[in-house]
Amino acid sequence: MLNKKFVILLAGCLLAAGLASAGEVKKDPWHRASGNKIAFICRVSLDHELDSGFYATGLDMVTDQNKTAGYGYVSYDCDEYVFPPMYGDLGEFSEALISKGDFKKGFYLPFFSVQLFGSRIAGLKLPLGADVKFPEEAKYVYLGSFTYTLESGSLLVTKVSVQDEFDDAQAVLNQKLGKNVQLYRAELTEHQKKDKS
Amino acid sequence: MMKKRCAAGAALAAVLILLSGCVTNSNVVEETPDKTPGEIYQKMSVSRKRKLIVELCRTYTPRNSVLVYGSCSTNGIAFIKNAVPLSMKFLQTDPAKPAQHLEYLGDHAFFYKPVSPGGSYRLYYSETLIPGGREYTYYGIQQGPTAFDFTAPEKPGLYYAGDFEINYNTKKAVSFSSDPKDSTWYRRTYEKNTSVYEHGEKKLSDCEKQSLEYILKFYKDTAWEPLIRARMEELKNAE
Repeated sequence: MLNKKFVILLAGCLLAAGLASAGEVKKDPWHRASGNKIAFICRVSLDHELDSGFYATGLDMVTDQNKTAGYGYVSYDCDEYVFPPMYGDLGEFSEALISKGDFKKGFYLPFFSVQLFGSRIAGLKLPLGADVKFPEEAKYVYLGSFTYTLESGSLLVTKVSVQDEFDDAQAVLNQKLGKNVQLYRAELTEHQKKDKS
Repeated sequence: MMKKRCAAGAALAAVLILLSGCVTNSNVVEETPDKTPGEIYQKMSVSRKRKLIVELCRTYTPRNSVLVYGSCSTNGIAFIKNAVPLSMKFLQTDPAKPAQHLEYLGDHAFFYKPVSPGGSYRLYYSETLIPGGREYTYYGIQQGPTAFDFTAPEKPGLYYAGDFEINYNTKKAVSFSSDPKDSTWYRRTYEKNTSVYEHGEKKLSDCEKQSLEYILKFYKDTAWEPLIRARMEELKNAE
């Protein structure tokens, strides 16, 4: 139920972003986590650059070849497609502001969603399969830094490595907000399936 | 003297490398926006498609390419089973082969523009009519395989991909879904000639003949025409 609320929120964010940018991937500047919001910081990257010309030609998106790939979160292993908002540029730190009311102390993060060339049609799934927990008092939460290795051609994920770049994330956060704030580490554990009954 | 010998040797090696490059690359068709007349889309008029195909066939010939065609004509009993893809988009995923984008062109008989021999083509987007609406499926680059995915033969020429039929899971039939369970395509080939339905299937050779007649409208007066006619004759003689 909580997950569904979270997904609805994500879909709403995308709709708003979509209306504002007419299909362009839009990344808001970083904001302070005020009210009941929590800011999640992370970095998602690939261990080698994709041959953008190859995929842009294959996907008939040559004119969009130089657009930066965006990444966002998907909060549960969905049967139906979720329109995730793109929070960050692939390879860069990002901030996602989520309402605390949409979850209590954590959520399930099955995969990151990537849009090459800023387009949903060029989507990639970067699986994670982690339950995310964080301290109740946290307003700023560092999820981690995730580097994916992809098979050439089909771009299937062959390896994911998680790095702790907490200090870098803290520095970027302070710099983006223009003030020092307390960043907390999230605890990522292997996803435990909940009994639906 | 030694220097001259080295220089002569290097020049000879360079010539050999260049020649070998020419030989190995002579059959590779590299598609770039500058070199081709542009993409051919399903929504284009027949005359526009035909014009682009004729232009494209100056580059993609039966000596360096594969012309892939197929059909969605197995079932003709219930109206709903006659559905054909409204749109299908493919990308070539083998990094060793030239990048290429393909569109499903046609109706109950279909074809793609000529493709690279040995290329692996993956469906990444489709639109299909399903009971109660239209299904938009974003397979993405990573998903698959689907019945429509194919690897082109290494030998240039014609390639019949088979006949395709759709099976619905009406309980899950909803619009804007990416779940391939909602409708699933099945492929029938000469090697695996079984229909998912228990009745109504056409002979596969009849499906192929229908497909050949259709593609001839587009490939007439190109280097592909004699091959298409020869295959039609072959099927006729096999009856």
